[in-house]
Amino acid sequence: MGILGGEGFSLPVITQTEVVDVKITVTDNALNQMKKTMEGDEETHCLVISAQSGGCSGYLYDMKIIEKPDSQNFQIQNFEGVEVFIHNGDSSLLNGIELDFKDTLMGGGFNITNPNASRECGCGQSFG
Amino acid sequence: MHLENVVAVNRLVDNMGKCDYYIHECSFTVAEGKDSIEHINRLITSNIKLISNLESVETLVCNANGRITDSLQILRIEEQLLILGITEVAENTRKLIVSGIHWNEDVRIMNGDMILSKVSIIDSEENLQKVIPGKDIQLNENKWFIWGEKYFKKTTYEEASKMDIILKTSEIGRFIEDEFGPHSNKLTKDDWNKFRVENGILSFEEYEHNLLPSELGLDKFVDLKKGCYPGQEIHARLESRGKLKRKIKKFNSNKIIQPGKYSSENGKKINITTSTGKNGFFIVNNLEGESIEIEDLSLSHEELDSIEIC
Repeated sequence: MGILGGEGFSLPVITQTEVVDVKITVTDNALNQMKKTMEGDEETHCLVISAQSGGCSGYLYDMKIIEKPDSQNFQIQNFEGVEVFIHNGDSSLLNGIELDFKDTLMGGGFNITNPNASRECGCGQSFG
Repeated sequence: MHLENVVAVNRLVDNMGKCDYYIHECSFTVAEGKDSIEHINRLITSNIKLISNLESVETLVCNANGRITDSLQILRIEEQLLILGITEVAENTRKLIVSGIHWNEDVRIMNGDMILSKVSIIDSEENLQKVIPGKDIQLNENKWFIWGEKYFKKTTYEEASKMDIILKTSEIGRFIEDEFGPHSNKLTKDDWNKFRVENGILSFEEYEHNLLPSELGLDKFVDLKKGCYPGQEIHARLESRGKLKRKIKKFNSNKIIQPGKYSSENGKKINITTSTGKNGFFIVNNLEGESIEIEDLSLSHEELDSIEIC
């Protein structure tokens, strides 16, 4: 194992500490689409919007409908019964975003406008 | 003292077990967890998805404008990644790494600064082999070797060889004394710069000028096929239709010149990034064969044969 696996040897873990109160907005189009996609599973499922490193501009958006996770580290907003979860770790990156949905054949789908982004990738999935 | 002289002297006193060593100032970050490779891979210009145990990869971190912000050496140790970077920008790089961990990923980031160190021993290949106690072990240039709690990797250059050793900071003194005797020579930053210039090894002095990898000749550390990473769009555009505005070169001067920005007699702007007195690295705009005159100083220049990052 060498140096890192030595007995009694441990390094300080770095954690992200900046957590802000998140407030997001969802357009009518986006809300309608979310309801359609949920197909009545609003009681058990939620939409998680998150950010992860990568993409051309530094961070990538990620959106998933999943079974509601343990809410301990999430901030939750309810939009007419649809719950949107944002992890505390992403709060400073995603606070203030507007979620929209464009129903077009090209370039359509969910779209995020982020006031924290100083630049965005052409495809709209990456921001920095 | 000139490094060439140091190496030459060393060869004469091999049997006394002396060595020249340099203690690097670099940052140490450890990433662990089953998603750590995937996570780090999204941030860097190389592809480390297939990195094997004890293999290391030299790579770059760039901003969205494609400019280099850090250079990393990533060593895989079983399920952990030991990431060596530039001390001066370590805080920003760690912030980037930590802030981009997906909520559902298993990644933990740890800080190894002050606790871990990297030491380079410079000597002949034959003498470096003697550093490892099991003399029959042939050091592989692509893989690190573990001995006790230390990691070793050899790199061979034209004139000399270098053994990088990662160990606990608290053990450097004892290790050097036990293995090489009390009279070993700790190289200064100037000595190290001479070795760097001689062997085409770039450092923070080159990266800090907001440059693209191509401008520093570091294209081999950029993988345009791996998918998106910060700066990828710019690198791809440059590769397909771009023309470099400036480039790194090695210079030889007839007089001592200090690092800094200069204008030549014919209006060329040059930036001396590393100077060891009469030679070093500099960045220059579109330069053909002509020499550069700055007042009473004349610089000849050449392309770098091979370029490495440290």
